[in-house]
Amino acid sequence: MFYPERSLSILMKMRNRIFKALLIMLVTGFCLSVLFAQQLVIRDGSRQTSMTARVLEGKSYYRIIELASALQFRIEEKGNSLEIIGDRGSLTVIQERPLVRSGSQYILLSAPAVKLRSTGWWVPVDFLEKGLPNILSRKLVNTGGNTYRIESLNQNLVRVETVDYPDHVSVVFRASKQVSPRIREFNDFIEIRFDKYIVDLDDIENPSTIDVVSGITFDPNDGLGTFRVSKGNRYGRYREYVLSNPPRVVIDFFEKPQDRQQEERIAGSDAAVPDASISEDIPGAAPGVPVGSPPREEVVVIDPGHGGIDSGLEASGGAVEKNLTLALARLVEQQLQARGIKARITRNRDVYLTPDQRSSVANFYSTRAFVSLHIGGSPSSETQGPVVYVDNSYENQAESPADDTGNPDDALMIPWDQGQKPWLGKSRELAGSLQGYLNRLFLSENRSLEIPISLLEPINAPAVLIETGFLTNEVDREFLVTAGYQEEMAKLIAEGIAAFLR
Amino acid sequence: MKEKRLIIFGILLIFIAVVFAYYLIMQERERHMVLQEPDSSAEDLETTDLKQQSEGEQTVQLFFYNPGKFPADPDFLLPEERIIYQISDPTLMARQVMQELFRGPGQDAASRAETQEGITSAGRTPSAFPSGTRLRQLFILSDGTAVVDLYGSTVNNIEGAFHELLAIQSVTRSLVINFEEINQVRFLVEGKEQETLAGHVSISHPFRLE
Repeated sequence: MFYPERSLSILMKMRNRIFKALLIMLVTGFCLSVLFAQQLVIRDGSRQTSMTARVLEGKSYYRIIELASALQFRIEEKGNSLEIIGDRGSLTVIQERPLVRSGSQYILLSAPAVKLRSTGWWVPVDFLEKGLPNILSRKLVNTGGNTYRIESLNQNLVRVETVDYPDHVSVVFRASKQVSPRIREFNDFIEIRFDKYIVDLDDIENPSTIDVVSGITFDPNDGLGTFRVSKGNRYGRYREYVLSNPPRVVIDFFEKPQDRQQEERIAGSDAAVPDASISEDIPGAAPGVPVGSPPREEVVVIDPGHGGIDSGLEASGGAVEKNLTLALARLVEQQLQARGIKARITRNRDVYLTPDQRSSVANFYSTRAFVSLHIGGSPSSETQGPVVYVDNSYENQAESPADDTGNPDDALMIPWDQGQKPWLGKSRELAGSLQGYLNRLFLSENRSLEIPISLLEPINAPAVLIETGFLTNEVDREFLVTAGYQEEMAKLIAEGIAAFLR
Repeated sequence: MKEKRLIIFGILLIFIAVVFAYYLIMQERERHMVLQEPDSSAEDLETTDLKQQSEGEQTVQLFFYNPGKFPADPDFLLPEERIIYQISDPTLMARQVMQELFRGPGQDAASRAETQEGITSAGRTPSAFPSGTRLRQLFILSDGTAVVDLYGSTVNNIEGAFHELLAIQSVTRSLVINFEEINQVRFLVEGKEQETLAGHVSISHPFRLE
């Protein structure tokens, strides 16, 4: 029999235990839900807003409606797109596309925006840093994990240091991530614009003397992250380096040369002899180089393609591109030295180098020629013979404001990724020479090709990439893996380089 | 008495556990739904009834590799005609072109089956793309740029500068020739901008016909 009054009295007696049990379950449930959903915290001064982030396809997504109330922007839904209106402009988020439209410009996100039937619009994490700064006068700065701090734009700046050297002043802009600022020279100052890549504006360290650089200023109100380095009365020229480890931009300001002899001394003052082959921090143009050291070595740089975790092409017989290119590079180096030409190779063992590390080696030396060795692959076994490639990226790009001067010193002032621009003609010559010599060995009639090649873009010297035959072709494979042919190939490459240098 | 208490306590526990489990399952289901969304939109050629939408048929030209040739040769790529459904939305048309291009050369179904491996059989042209290649996403921007998004698994099978160039030119030519709305092609891999397609050729700028 069931007696309701009895059950009630039992329940009354047990209420303490039931409450305890419920409490434990609630706490466990809460902990579990925290595990499943990440919490986003946005701090605005002392005010703190929390919202739940959802992880979809490994990316954290935030709900726009919650962001809107925390960051004070308006949203208007229009079909399959959503308009986000901030105090500085508006953005359109497009459903299922990793795109945000800002006027006529498109900003790519790491993942598509999604609209859920139940909870509305969600955007991937990088929308906070890529999209919102375009329309808000404030910016979200990640302060670790899922915590963001709202800052006004002018607070977000690069840290600036200056170092005085006897013959030049180095201004170093240290950033928290890789930067590619726009650098332009004006009559009285040099402008360095960082756009959205901005960190702390703690204090700008001005140089101790004002002869070459009279001061560094930052205008917090333009919202663009623009520094101005004012020229002193003895300013002569500047030279810039965008370095990656750690991310920083170094700009060296040189004095006006008193006479020709002094000019030569300045030009040679960056020299150092690095063992660049495996260095993590590329020699680039590190400040702190002793004054009066000899001019930079004139060398030919040979770059064995791939290496380490990046094996490149693999043939069925066990031949691997990274090993073949290294063996060939060593042979080419020997052959060049036998002809009295100084040569360096970018890697001397099986190690992975980034493209920037490779091109930095070329840009460190006074490089006479840069040759990257690779092996070709084709979906057809009929494709055969060596092909020499030249980088023509610059030809396909719109002119940027930094390259308008027509000054003979241009080669010293061009942005990192445009190093190859003035060398296209010379690179073509080098390619022609190498293609001709290699065709002799393969009895081929291949022509060199001009395509955008990322590795060659920054190289401030004649530079080519060779695919020394196709591993997918039987005849070529024989050439590529046989020691005798490799030596012959190395001789022809060395001869091709020597003929170009003559 | 004690037993009854235990039973009530047990029922309560089970009830709460069921509610919590239901909540988790619903969360997971919604998450799955979203995960499938980008996929289904990439595959909308299969899922959309193109026949119903179509306003007829249209012949398009696809460009495949001419074995042994190089980009400097005028006959580096050979045209091949295919018939696709004519639809007012150029994006859906362009996706059909990409799908046909990924199927590889060979006009009829029989030769298609033979070239599925992507390997040259006697006298047949090979495909620049590995077998089973699917389009991750394609959209056309108002400035005439077609954005072609490829899977990482697709580009992993493209090795060497020559092969990358072949893939880029094959796609660019096939899209630009067939659509007035497209004048250049931009490549993404896994939905992201990449410096190179597969290690050599820079894709940081769009490609046009030369």
